[in-house]
Amino acid sequence: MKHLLQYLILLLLGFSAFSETQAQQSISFQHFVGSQPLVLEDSIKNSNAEILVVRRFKYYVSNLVLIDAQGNRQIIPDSYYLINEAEPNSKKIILPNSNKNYSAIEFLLGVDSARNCSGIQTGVLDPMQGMFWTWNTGYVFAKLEGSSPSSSLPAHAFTYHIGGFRTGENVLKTIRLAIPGSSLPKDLQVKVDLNAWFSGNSSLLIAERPVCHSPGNLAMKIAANYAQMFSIIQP
Amino acid sequence: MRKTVILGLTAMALLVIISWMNAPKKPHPIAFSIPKGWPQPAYDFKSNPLTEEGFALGKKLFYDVRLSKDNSISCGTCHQQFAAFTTFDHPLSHGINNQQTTRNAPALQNLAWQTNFMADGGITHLDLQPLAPITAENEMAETLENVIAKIKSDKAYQTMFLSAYGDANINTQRVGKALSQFMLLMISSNSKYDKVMQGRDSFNLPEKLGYGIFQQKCASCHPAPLFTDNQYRNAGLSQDDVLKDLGRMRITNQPADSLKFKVPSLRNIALTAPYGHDGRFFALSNVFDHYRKQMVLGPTTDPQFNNRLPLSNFEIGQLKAFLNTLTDSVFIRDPRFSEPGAAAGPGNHGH
Ligand code: HEC
Ligand code: HEC
Repeated sequence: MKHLLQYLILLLLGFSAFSETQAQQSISFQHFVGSQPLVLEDSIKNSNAEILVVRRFKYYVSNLVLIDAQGNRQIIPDSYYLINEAEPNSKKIILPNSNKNYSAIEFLLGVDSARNCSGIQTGVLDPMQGMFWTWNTGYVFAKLEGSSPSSSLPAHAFTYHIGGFRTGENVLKTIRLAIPGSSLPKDLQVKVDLNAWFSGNSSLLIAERPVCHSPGNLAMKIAANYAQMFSIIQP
Repeated sequence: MRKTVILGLTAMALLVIISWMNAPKKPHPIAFSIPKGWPQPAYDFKSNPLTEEGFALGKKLFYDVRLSKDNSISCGTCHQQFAAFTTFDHPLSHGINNQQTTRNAPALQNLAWQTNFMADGGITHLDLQPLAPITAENEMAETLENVIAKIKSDKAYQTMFLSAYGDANINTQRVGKALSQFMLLMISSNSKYDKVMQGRDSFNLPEKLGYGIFQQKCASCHPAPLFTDNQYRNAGLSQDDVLKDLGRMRITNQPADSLKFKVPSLRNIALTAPYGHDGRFFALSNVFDHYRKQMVLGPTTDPQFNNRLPLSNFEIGQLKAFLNTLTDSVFIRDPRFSEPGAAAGPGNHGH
């Protein structure tokens, strides 16, 4: 009896969820190196003409805001997403139902300081996701790992773990992207260009700096670069 | 029409009964009592209300070797009750595969009054502290995924999570909170010193003289009742050329914080040898000799030590007598914190 009831309830819930997704809008993150789509484990050349293989590419998108033509801000509550190249589903953010038109989106690249400071979080913010420094409390906001013949480290590895939320080492970046035609398409396509890591603001050579594992000056320099990796793909 | 209404009502009534039968019993709250005259604790108990069930779960986790990769080391391996939860007689503790930690394990006591953890203050919340030893390659070397998987597959844990949290969901957050519940209740406030302050006991002459010297020469950094000001200071310990520990600067990147370490509490100090952030002082006499003779004065050494810390042999004798009054024998024998099935004593613990 109990099972039957639970089954029926689940079925009903399932139906309603299904019908909702039909009308839902979304944002999709598409990863590129220049004009080439990123493929993990494939050898590629970056904007500094260094050859590299990307093994891991992950970053937090949080505190999402939809902005309409009048400048009204609709804050999406509790919005934390971990975009991970290795998990296709993670690259699509489903937006709550809304019929409004928006002219821009805004989000934090990283995790706000409140969530860095209030103990262990759950879901995508669970330290189990491997995006957390256990010895120096705080989230890794973005991670890029792989190998490159330019790197002088064992196995020619490079690892960039970028984070830091305290004054003097804050790398939280607010990203604002205008939506072409001021009309949010059903699935907004955001291009994410890895080349920005290496040449967005200043040049980062894997040969010179193959590792960044803590908050500080290098992390701030790299974050100033990657803050420029986002753009909207015209439909 | 009437039939469907009756049917619907019966179904609803059934649902209510089923959910009532399934509802776990409420956990039993534990009151956190602040010792008389102590400040308000820093820990936010609203975010993690103490309960008997949560405490019991935390205790099981604290003494569970499955938190380590090869199931050989628990928190209690390095934090031994009879040594006020330090590692008895070890400058550095042993992790898995014969590796060593890079710092001396501190006493675990009065953690509810602390906002930052580790000698460099790198961890800013007690709930987060366990993640560091669990994942450190030279300590327990386990992944959080594996720890959670091991716990999830254990029937006893499933029941304990259910009774502590009301549902059987097991995640990192709940593991951290349960461990905090266990550690938050480790309050050491029953030493002879405390009894003297409460008028229930009295110092003998050396203790009394030692207390006077302590007030004059030590209390500025090691103030009662916690016997630490929880600040980071350079007490003139030269940098070890193997460990190359920068202390607080490792966290802040500020040269002004170079070689500064958290001022340790002196409660239970007679039980927690060796001393210093890397355990370089074997006995209290080595600490005193450091303060009066060996201290290395550098750019970040605490200004209070401009002339080092002159101490006569007589003063050292009295200070030792006073420091012995900070031993809390109730705390180190309290069965609430004891490893299940083990008798307290050095003999039971490897080496
Ligand atoms: C291999 C030995 C070892 C193990 C295992 C270990 N610890 Fe520790 N613990 C240490 C050392 C060493 C420190 C000091 C680290 C530092 O200051 O950098 C420490 C520090 C701490 C502190 C901070 C105390 C303070 O005053 O700042 C807490 C709390 C703690 N450990 C709890 C735990 C818990 C809970 C576990 C089990 C999940 C655990 N430890 C496992 C060795 C260990
Ligand atoms: C200017 C601040 C300051 C003063 C004054 C001071 N201390 Fe300390 N004390 C410290 C700091 C900082 C440490 C940690 C040093 C380290 O490990 O790098 C420490 C460590 C210790 C330790 C080692 C504790 C352990 O668990 O490892 C003892 C014992 C100690 N102090 C006793 C005393 C006594 C007794 C006095 C007075 C004679 C005194 N201290 C005065 C700052 C101070």
